Amino acid sequence: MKHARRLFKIGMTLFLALAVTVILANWVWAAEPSTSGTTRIIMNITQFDQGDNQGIAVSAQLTDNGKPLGNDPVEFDLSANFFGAQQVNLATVQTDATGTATITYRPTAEGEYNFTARFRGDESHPQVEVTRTYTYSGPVSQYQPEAVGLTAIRQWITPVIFLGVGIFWLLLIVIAVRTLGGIRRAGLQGTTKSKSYRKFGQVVYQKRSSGN
Amino acid sequence: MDSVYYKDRDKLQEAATRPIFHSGLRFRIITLILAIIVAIGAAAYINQFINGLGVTGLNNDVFWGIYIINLVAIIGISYGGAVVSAILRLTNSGWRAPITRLAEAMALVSLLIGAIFPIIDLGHPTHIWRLLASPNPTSPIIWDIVAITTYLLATLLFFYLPLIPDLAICRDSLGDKAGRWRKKIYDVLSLGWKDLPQQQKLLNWGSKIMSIIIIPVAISVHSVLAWVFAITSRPGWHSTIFGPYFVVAALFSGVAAVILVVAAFRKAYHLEDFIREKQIRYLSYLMLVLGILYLYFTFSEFLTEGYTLDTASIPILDSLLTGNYGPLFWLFAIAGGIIPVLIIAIPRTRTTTGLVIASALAVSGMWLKRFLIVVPTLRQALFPVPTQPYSGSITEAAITLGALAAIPLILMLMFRVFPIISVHEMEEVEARESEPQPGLAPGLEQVKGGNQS
Repeated sequence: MKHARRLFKIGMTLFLALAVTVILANWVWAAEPSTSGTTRIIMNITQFDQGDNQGIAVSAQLTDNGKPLGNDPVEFDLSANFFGAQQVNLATVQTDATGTATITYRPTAEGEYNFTARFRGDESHPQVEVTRTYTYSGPVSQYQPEAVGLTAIRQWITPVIFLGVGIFWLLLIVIAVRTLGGIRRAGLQGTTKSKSYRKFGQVVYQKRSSGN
Repeated sequence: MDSVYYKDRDKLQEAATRPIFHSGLRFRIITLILAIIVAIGAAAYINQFINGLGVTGLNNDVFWGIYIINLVAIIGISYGGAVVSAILRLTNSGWRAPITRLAEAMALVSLLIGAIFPIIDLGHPTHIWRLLASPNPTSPIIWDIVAITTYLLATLLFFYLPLIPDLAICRDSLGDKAGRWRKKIYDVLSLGWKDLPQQQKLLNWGSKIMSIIIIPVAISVHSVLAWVFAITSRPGWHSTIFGPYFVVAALFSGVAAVILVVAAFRKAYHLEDFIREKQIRYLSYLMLVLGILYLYFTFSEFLTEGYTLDTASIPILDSLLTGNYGPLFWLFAIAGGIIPVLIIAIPRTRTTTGLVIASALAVSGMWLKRFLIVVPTLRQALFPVPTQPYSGSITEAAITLGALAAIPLILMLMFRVFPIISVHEMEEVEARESEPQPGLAPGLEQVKGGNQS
């Protein structure tokens, strides 16, 4: 009997230890998203040409265990050498029912482009991303500003401002020549100095004295 | 009676030419210190010239930094000096006479120093040639150059015209005491001035026209500087208020700088008999109005931008009011705006010392405000990539300090040649004010003259 009780105690202890271990393990595993490695992104890059609409279509299919993950955000980045190497975020697109998110991009030049599709993960899926290089050769994007109004006025703004500045400079030159040149000429022509000259600076005081 | 006035005239001429002959130990020490700071700034620029803009804290995001801040701040100071002098001259304010020379000289010198900064900012001075050889009229930079050059020409003429009679005084009264090279300068620059009626007429005409012209020119220069920012579609800059906002800022800091210059030279050369506290106090009243106006503009700008909750502007307003730049913004608002206004507004603190402190705070505060206009907007990413921080570099600090030291240094050296007070203008004002008023009894003229002296 005593032996059976001891066995029962050992059994219970083992059972409790096992239960605690299971609970702890479950808690630890639950904190981490499933890292089963089955969440994947399959990236597909194609060139398309639909008349005026040409460029690259980048699609990313998000799956878990082969099953598509719908309504999840996928970020599309482009590695660009724009003021130094940068990851430029092109767009963030929600996956559809087939787990696919697609963007279109019209390059500014022919050459190699590195696209990255990224799923940042959630409670049950880890973050996954995939990068692919695509060599593009085809029509390139050219900046074509939309036509704005005031065209008739805009073409005159610059010449009018230049004309105004020119007239102003001419005015300054006229003032300088007339004033400085006039003073110089008058000084040269004035053979006798004015009465006030020798007593320059005293004149006003003399006037004031005479006023008194 | 005459002898008293002659004595006054002699005293005035002596005071006006005092800096020419008095270069004591204090002058030499201050000149040496300023020259060393300028030399360090020049060395820093040579370093930048050799190694490129990489030695600055500028980067691809914050491509305008301390250099452009200095451009706006120093040209603003220049603008204040010129406009204050022009307005006071046009309104025939008698109290202006002793300070116009200092205000105009400060306007010219600070403009010369401020105008260097676009060249420093370009990295290599040869880039100026490219700007001129293939100008792009749609670029604000080319308009900056046109505006600053026009303003420089106008300021030079504005400074030179009233100087001609004083140079003639120096030419005729200083004699051999002036020294050979000064004599030569007086001879050439006085343009044979003999105080003939025709010369007086021409001078009055030229001075009046230039006083009228300098005001719209100065306004246009600072407006163009404002539009360099405002016509770009960037949050924090793209604002219709920027033109007048910059103009008022320039006037506020400019009048404050005039007070600093006037007070410094007044004390250094003991000109208290001519530049009285009244002159500094009157200038401070202008500063008070402009300070309140600037604070109002700042409030108006922030209110209209913040109230619409525009997604592009909100991050900048956040960073200024409560974010990274919050301490700097509130330092500007309190120390650079509210405290100077209070110092001037409260009669007890409106002493010369108080006004000098208020002016120093206003000039520094306005520099800080220009920093807060330029940098936070550039830190806002236009592309979905993080921006790089900017905090300036030792090279930029050394060049800035060198340029700031160059302003008083050039002024000190300038007044070793030119009279510091406009004798001609002082006499003119005195003569006008002492002329008998029509309808006044002879006895009353005496009373009027007595009150004014």
